[in-house]
Amino acid sequence: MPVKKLESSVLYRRCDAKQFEFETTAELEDLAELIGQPRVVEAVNFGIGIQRNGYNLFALGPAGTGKQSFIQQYLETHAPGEQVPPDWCYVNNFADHRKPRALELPPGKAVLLHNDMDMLIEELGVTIPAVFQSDEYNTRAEAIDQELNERQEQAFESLNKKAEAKNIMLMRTPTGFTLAPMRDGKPIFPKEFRQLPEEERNKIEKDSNVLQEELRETLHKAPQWQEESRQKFADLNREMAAGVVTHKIDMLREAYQQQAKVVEYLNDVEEDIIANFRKFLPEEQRRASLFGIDLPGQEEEMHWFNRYRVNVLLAHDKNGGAPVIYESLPSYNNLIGRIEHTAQQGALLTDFTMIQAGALHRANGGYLLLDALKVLVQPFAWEALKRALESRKVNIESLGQITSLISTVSLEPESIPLDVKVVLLGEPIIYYLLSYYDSEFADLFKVQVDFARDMQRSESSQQQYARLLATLVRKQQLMPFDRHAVARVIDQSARLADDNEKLSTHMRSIQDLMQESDYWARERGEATVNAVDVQQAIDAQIRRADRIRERLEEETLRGTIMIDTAGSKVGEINGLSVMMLGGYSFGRPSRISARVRLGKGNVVDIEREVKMGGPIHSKGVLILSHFLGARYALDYPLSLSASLVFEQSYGGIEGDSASSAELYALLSALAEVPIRQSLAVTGSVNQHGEIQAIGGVNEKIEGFFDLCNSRGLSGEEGVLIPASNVRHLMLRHDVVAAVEDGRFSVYPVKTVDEGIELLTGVSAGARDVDGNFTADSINRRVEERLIHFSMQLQRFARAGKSEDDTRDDGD
Amino acid sequence: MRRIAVTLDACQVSSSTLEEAVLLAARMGAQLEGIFVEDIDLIQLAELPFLREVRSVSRSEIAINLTRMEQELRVLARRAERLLGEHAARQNVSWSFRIWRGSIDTELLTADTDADVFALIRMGTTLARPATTKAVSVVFTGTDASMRALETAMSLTTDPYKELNILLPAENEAEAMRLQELATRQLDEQAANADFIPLKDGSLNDVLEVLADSNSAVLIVERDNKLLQAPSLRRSLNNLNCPLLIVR
Repeated sequence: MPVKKLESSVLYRRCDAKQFEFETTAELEDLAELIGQPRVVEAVNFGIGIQRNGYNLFALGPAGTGKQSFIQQYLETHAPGEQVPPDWCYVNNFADHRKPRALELPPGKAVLLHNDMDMLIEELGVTIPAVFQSDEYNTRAEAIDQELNERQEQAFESLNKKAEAKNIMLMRTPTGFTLAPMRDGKPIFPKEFRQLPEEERNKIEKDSNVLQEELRETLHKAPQWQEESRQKFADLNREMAAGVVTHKIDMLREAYQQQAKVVEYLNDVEEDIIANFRKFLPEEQRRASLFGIDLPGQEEEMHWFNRYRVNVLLAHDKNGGAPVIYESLPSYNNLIGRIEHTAQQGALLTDFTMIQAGALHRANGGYLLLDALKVLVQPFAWEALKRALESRKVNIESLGQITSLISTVSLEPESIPLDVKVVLLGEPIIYYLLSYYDSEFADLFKVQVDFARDMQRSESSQQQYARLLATLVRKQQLMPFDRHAVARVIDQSARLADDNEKLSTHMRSIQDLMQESDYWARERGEATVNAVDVQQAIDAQIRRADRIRERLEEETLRGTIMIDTAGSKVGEINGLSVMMLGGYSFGRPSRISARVRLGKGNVVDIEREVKMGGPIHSKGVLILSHFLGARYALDYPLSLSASLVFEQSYGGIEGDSASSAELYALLSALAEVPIRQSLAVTGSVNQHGEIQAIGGVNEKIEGFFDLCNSRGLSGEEGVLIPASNVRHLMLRHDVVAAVEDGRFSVYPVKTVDEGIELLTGVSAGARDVDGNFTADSINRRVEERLIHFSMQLQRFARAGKSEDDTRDDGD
Repeated sequence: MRRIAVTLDACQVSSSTLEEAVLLAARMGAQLEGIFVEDIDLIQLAELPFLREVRSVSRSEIAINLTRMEQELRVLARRAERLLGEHAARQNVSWSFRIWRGSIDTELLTADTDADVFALIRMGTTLARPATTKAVSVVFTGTDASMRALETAMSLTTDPYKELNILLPAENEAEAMRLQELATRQLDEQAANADFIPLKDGSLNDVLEVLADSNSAVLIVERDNKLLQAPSLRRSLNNLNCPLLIVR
């Protein structure tokens, strides 16, 4: 039964604007939910709801499907109702400055603590000096000093008196003391001494020795007295400092009594301030003085007081809900935080105030959205993310440290517990590769959120789609779209989905189309966007991208690329292929030719031989030889050598959509029946001769139509497509119009026999009860040709001639 | 420009002492002359065979040896000169340095110097001085030299004369009043802030008592004050609890 050409009505499924009750999108309400992706909504609900380890989400889907915007919108809707996570601060660790301590505070309290500590230091800068300038302190300090002086002076005075009583004088030497004889308060010099009677000299000498011993004992006691005095002075200082510091800190301890770690920190602060009270004294009290009179001195660095500051790593609004963070640059440091440094005299210095939060900190207690590919291409970022999720805490380590490239002293901040739900966004291939190659991935990202590239097209879904478009109009601040424009966008959406029963969920393309339609409408000075504007936007998109297509068509028309669209030829057929350049794809016809001769039963794919054919294409060609063998050479050897080639193809070829065309060319060559060049063919074929669906059917038909149309349509031109592709048809209006006028045809083909009949006008033929094909049919001719090859081969074998010596033109 | 001479001996060569000397010169806007004193009495006594020295820090005992002592004095002088230079450069004070050998008791006050102020930093045995002392005390006798001493004292007070003690050695009340009037005239309208303290007899003990009560950081006297004579300068300095500035 001959194949019927398709009616124009099935070539394009038009969205009827009459079904819409609105005039423009301005009348439609926003669409809150995600349409056409029920699986996604279920997965997200589940992933967000389950509070177990490893139940992080991976949203996979083609770029532009709106994964991020949907999930972000979903989370931002739900997060405000969730518990606000705690605030976190880093403070100095007074026991080990290299290991800053992390403090957890209720939401909103971190900033308060920061301000309280700043205020404390400011106040102590006033109160501590006041205490140390008080009469009480001065009196007590002086008393300690006086006591020491008196002890020392009494000791020396006592020694002096004893010495004077014995006419001996205590004198200073460059390094100590000595005892010299004296008379009338003046030393007795050697000359005078020698003139003294021996008895007196001996007495002086003896007395001097005794006093010497006493002097030594006095000097021995001096350090001990000084030490005692210093200790008393230190105790006094501590007492005075504690008097003011403890009172202030007590007020803070009261305010933060619910936070045990903060209280512990305040205890350490108290100890440290008391130990370092001198730093709070005004600069002049620490300057050099002239006889106790203050004089200008060196400026003291204020940097020292940073030790009491509070570095607020995370501060939350107590009514703000859970955070939702999208990190656009998920580098190692942007994820886990960083420790900054400041250069001072060539050295890099840091302290806990230079610790900066990363995205994991900011999202702690909430949600973190990351682009999977960006995480993977950032050095160490993926490992750091996994480590944080596995350990459920964030450790800030510099890259220099973990790679051991830099050996400078840095900080080791205390880790912060992590409770975050990470949502990775990526292409499906990334998800599958990670699942396959990274054994930890499955443990950490257990929730798969699979975004489909299209959705079912029905009247109700088109209504919802219209609301979606209305939402986009408002979000993008576009002019309202009238219902005809909406219908045209929906049609284009089906075309993008390559299926007239589906609508595309590739939101970026739809959004681009709407924005461009809005542009053209504004150019025309309209207040609303109509179908003409949408069509103009589509045409302009194609126009901007189709320079290569136009050039190829031009060269075909000029005869440089040889494609016949009229007449008949043996072993030659117009195949159809799709070229994808950037985001634009178009169809183009290619001449496929087949030559046959006596051989060993192999079909040579010349594309494969020169490594220009991909594996799927080669598979298609191999299927052909087995189809031939199974259909025509069941009882004798397939003694055929055939070659197939895409003429004037200078790039790689992949896919099996031309396999039916190659089979037709082969059958034509074997049967020696010419093929109509006004027809082009697409579709793959299986071993049973059934034509199978292919992709890009619209582009392929339009590609051949454009060429034929340029040469002038005679009504003979048309395309054979797999019948199973009919539901994918969303052809251009000019193609549909040509079909409607009978100037162009599209044939849905189910089998090879149907196709070859259309192409040759000769019956394919079927086997009768005796197993013979119908006389003069294509199949009969093919079978006879193959039997001829086989007989010929047997004759050669009998004659002892090798096949290699055989010369046959093959046709 | 005024000149100030600061005597340094073997027991004062510390950085803080020298810094104080430099700061004094800076405050008075004076040139500084550092005089390192080699006490001839000590050098002569070194020849006594039985004399031994007890080191103040190590507390070790050693026989005094003239050669070693002179060597140690030279080391100290060099150190004093270096430290003085460093402090003077820091404060941008013009300075000079020399070594003077003689008797502290009999010759120091006649040392060959044209300085207006002669600063004798205490040579006593006290190892620590209260840090809280702030007052400036000056002995005022009404002479021209004591007028200059009063001017020097005024230049050293920060808060106008609040910490200024003017000691008036007077045999009777009328004499004390006369001196106070003289001093008041010398001071300006802020004179009321100063403390006038009559001395009973102007003796060393009398002055020491006042200094202890007034918590003085420095004592300023005129060149001819009797404190500098009796019984000996060395003993006066030893008993003073603060540096002594002698104004010529």
